Amino acid sequence: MPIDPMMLNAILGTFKNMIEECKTKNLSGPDFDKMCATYDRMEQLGNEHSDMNEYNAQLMNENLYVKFSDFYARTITPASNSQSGDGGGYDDAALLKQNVDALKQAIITIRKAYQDTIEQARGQDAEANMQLGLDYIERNFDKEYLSAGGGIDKINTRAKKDFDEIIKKKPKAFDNSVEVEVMSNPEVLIKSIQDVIDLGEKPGMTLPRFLRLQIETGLDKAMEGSVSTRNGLETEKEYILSNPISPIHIQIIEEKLEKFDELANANKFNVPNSTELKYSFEDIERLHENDIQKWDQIKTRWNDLLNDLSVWSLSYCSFAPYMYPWAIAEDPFAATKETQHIAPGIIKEKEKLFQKYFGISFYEIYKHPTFLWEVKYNYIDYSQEYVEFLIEKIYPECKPFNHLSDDLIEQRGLFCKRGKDSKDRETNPQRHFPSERIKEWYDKKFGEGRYLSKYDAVEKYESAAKPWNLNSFKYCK
Amino acid sequence: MDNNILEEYRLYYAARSEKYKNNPAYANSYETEKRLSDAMQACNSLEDFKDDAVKLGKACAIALVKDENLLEKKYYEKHQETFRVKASEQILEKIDSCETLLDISTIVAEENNKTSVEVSMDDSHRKIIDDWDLIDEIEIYENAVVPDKYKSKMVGMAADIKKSLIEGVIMLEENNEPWQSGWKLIPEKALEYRHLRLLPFLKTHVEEQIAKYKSIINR
Repeated sequence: MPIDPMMLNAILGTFKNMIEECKTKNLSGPDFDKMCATYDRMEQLGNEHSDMNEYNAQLMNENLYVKFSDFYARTITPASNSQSGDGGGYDDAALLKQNVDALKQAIITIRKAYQDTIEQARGQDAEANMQLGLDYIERNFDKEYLSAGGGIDKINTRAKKDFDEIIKKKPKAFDNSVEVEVMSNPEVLIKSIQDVIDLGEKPGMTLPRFLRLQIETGLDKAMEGSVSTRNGLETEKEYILSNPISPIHIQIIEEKLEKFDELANANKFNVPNSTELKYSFEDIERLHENDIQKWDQIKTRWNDLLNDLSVWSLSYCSFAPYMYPWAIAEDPFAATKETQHIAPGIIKEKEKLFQKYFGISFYEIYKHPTFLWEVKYNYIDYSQEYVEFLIEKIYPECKPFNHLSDDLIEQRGLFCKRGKDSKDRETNPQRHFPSERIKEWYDKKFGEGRYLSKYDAVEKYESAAKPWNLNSFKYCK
Repeated sequence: MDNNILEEYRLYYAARSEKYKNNPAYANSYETEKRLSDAMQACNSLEDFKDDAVKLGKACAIALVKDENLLEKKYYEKHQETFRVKASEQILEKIDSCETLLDISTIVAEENNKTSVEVSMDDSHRKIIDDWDLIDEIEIYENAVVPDKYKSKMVGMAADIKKSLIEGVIMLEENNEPWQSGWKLIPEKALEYRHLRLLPFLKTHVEEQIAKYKSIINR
């Protein structure tokens, strides 16, 4: 079976358009013929292969992408040369006009591309795209697999129903036009190009003076988009600061901004060299990459330990067999017993590895910067009183062959919301703060109310626990 | 020909070479731009400059590609990126043979293309990074102290993970086969600096984990 047309068209579409462009311009010749032959080979392989990975590998190994681009460039180059007019004597005014006109055309193209992207982002074809996806599934997925989901008709009906419900609830759910409008606004870049055009249209301007002044004032580099790069970094910083994953992420973005300014200041025209900037940024990322990995590992491992202690202690509660994950087991009661017996042995082994890799013991977790950070930004799922309960009451009992006392089981159960008179005290009552911060950043960036027009309101956690207060948390001292 | 225009061109070409002056990273560009500018300064008419403009213009393009690739080479050498550095090495070796500006862009695209395949094959040797936690899980299930009744269950869980690791490696090798015939996972490659730098563990721990990994996946 050949590669699915949806995938093949996505790959070959651009190349097909390039051939059409040459035909429209009446371009021909040996390079154009080779370009078409290369395309035919790409299409032929698409019909011979059924596996995308193998198809892509053969395209790359036969160097077809590069060959096509090369023949395309060779096909269109004589055309652009002939358009520049090589007959007759030197006509400075005509050449200057040609340069300025090209820049004016660039602005038109950039604005059109921007408007097209905004139109596309309105999501008016979201339903059609969903249908294309469903058709792809029907053509390519195993029939048995589809039957397990109730058959393709049922999957289609369900997907359409879900889609209609989303649209009814949030009419702008698939509309990203405002986001594109803000994030991809090309006016800063257009301003740089317009400055160059204005320079070219100054009375008495000549082509060589126009070209020289671009260099001497740095306008040529500004046109490459250095202002947009810095604005992009500022936006990234605002987002990171709204919900910083770690102090390292803040440090990286600050170092990048500092580097940008340093390179800009060292440049005669206050525009950093793009190549030097690229390697400087990569240096900064490489410098901190291991620290980020370490931060993630440590955070994941202590979260895992706390979660295991929580699950182990919960497995003793009378209502545990009715809760996930035990409720989905073949025998939920036996599953809770199994957790009670095996979890302490597993937790001890995880502790050993944590100590081995990072030299952190159970009681040292709470002094570690990763823990303090998770608390400070309310990324931690559990409340302070619940973590204290796990440290003080549950952890000391968590040993192989040991079990929780009835008193502790009762205390553990009281942290859960079971029935209308009890309240959840397990969850961090400010756990929704990170989502609130994202909403705040989103509305600030894309306009008040934009977040709620697309997404559900941030739900507050109904927890009776007090907010975290590190001053009263003795384990971090 | 208006003498003012000629003078304007002299200033323009001088500005082009000035752009790279005193920047050691663009020494080749400065040298060729300077030659181009000197040729312009010596001309008495634009017509005289035509041949030099074509010949030295191409030399300037080559020089710029050289400088940019010398920067890239230096950068990847500094970071011990033995595969990523190959594109710039090859471009630098071949660039002088370019006849036209199109040849330059073809060589650059071709070498970057070739290197990207080699880099992704080399990056595949990092599989242990993705599998690290699963190897730990095997150790956890095999060593956890549990009542006898649950021991076989724990061994079974460890065996399931081992099976999934073996299947993962087979799938990786099958996926890489069309890209590089005969490609096989070499776990020890993870000890080379370009991969090791991504692991937040001591080298001794990485060595230990590789030994365990190899015994599981039979490589």
